[in-house]
Amino acid sequence: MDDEQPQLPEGVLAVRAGPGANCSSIGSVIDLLFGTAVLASVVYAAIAAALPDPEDKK
Amino acid sequence: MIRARAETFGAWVRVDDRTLLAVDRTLARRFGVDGGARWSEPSRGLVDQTERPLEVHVAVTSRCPAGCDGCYLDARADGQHRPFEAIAATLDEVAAGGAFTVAFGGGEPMLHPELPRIARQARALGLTPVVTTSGIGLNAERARALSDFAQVNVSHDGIDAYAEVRGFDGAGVAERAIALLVAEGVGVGVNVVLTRQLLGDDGRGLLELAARVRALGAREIQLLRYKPAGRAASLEYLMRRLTPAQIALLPSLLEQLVPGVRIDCALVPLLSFARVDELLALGVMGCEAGRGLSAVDVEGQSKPCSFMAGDTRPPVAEPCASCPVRAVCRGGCRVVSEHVAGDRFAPDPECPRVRAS
Ligand code: SF4
Ligand code: SF4
Repeated sequence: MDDEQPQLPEGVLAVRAGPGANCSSIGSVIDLLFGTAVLASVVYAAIAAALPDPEDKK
Repeated sequence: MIRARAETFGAWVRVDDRTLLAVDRTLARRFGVDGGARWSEPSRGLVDQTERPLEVHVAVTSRCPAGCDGCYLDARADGQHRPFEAIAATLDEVAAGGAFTVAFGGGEPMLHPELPRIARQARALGLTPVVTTSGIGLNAERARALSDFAQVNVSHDGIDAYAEVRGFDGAGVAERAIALLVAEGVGVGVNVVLTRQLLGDDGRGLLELAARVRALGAREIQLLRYKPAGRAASLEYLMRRLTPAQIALLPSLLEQLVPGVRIDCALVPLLSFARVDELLALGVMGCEAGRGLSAVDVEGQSKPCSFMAGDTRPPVAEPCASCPVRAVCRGGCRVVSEHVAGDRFAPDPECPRVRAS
């Protein structure tokens, strides 16, 4: 409900959060619809933790 | 372990059980993805790129003693378990198809004697397993054996509303199950079907339920639209679905409930405040039946969604045709359209935009 477009880290097109799939219909976390400011930090942290070390990226 | 799947736009990358990212080709390369032939095609973008499921729903049994009035599967006390070997073969196919999450359901999955082994099998294939239960059949020993699931979702349809809506008073069973699972260190979500009876005039029943299950240790609440499928495809549906006034309350209720809230695909048309760019960036999915979502029933038959077989194309009529959130919503729930409008390809008749048109 923010006027700004959600700011995702460079290269990230979308983020689907949470493991809690339901057995009958596909679900989506909507917390960030109510506070997009925290989106980037959540996603940055996840990507930073997942990417290989800089030396390995070459 | 990172799991990735190349797409023309780049890749879907699951960095952990809680985070699935769509990334462009440059970032995909940094994650070690080689797009091969897919990257020699022009990007078709995120919206047009879900021809393979991200998530598959697998029924492990049709047995359930609860006999809920609104059971979408028509599960019965004498229903059959699907054998482990058949489920394992399905999981091989799911993994080979590139899905990330497998959600097990029933019937009542806790009654399946090999449920922990099924979760281990999914993990061995790199899938993230979750399961949904009413809590029937759960005890401390069984709860302890569920640690391979990324989350166990317990159904709870209201402190007072549960018995009224389901004809089976499962609230106590659900709350006991949440407490047992939390005590054993298993991540717990709670599935809440939104009904007229639960919300009442002011939505307080939902807020009170959320407070109670969070106090028990649930970390996520998933709100589900009531769907007229199975035993719920009856006249009762009209007495249980949300009223237009209750639908108008949803944005303020959601605001009071975050963080820790999910909505299901069928609720997307009821979120009239959301913008399409926000919905896309947050990976919100509307009717993904047969696209980002597929289901395998207890006979092993593949379906576009647990509620529906056959053709689930979105409506082409107005107001969906020119709707600003069509790319995500995809015309609302086909199950509701088929039951209420008598035409599964009709715009969702309970969407506020459709009602106003
Ligand atoms: S008008 Fe159609 S596409 Fe738009 S929100 Fe309603 S059901 Fe969805
Ligand atoms: S028909 Fe579409 S919106 Fe309805 S439950 Fe299935 S996937 Fe969700």
